[in-house]
Amino acid sequence: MNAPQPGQIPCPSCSRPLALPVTAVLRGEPIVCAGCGLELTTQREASREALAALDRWHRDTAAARTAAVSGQPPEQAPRPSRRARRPRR
Amino acid sequence: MSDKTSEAGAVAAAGGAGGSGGAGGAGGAAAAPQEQPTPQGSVLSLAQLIGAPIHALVDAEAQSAMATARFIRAVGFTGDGDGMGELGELQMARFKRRRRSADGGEEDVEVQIPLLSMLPIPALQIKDAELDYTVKIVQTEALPQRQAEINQLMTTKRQGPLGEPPATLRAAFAREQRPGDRRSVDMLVKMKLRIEQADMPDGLAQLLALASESAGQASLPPPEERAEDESETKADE
Repeated sequence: MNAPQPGQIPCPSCSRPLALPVTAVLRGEPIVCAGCGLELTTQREASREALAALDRWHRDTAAARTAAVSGQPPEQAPRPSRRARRPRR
Repeated sequence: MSDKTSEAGAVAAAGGAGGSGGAGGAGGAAAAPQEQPTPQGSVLSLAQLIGAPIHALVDAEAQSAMATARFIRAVGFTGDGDGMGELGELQMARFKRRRRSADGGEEDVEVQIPLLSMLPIPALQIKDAELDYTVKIVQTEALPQRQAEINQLMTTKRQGPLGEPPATLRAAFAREQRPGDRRSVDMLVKMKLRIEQADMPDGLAQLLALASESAGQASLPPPEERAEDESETKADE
């Protein structure tokens, strides 16, 4: 049993691998199969819950995905300076 | 100093160094009464001393697996993602496409795709771990009282070749002396870990395959009927 690659599905028309970019799905852009020209359009109302979960994932992993592409660790919130951390007397 | 006290302290120190179970690590030692020895001064059997960081590694892998399971629950299913209750249904994204119908016209078809098949599923594992201990053997014991439960498990066959009871080494983390440096490095367990995306576990592969098999298509009613349905739904609300 072969699991498909994440982010790809077999095209419902020609069964070739069809990429489903998350950003395109979230923006409601049509997904077009390069093999047969099939056009998939997101049904935003019917997929409201799924799109909300997808959007949450997309936002939560944005920093990690950027870091993975750049090879740099994700930026952390700046630490307060030593002077700022010192309690006032 | 009782054995029990020293064990707890040293396990806490080693667990803290492993970095996996923060709550059970240095924090637990800090809460101990002052007359108890500090974790760094604890003496343990060598097996326990070596085993504690390895135990921490296994714990870390287990936590990683649980994080993967939580991700699948939260993103892939409609149930409550935070708890371990009902999974609910597979979370499906719905798409629309046009296809030629049997009568030669065109019709809208709904394509349902499980969200799980659209996302990379994080599954990390420790590829290799390098542990560097500096220990000082402080005592050797033959069949100490503390090993009673181990001895019960040990059959005669498992003992040494001459049937002698196993010896126990008692050790503590030692300071690492550096030549030419009067100050010594404190007692440490140095750990170097390499983490990688795990190969797809069989169970996960089956789940994804099942998810992709559940992708389906169904004809949508003509646009006029859909508009009527939507208006009725809104009126009901």
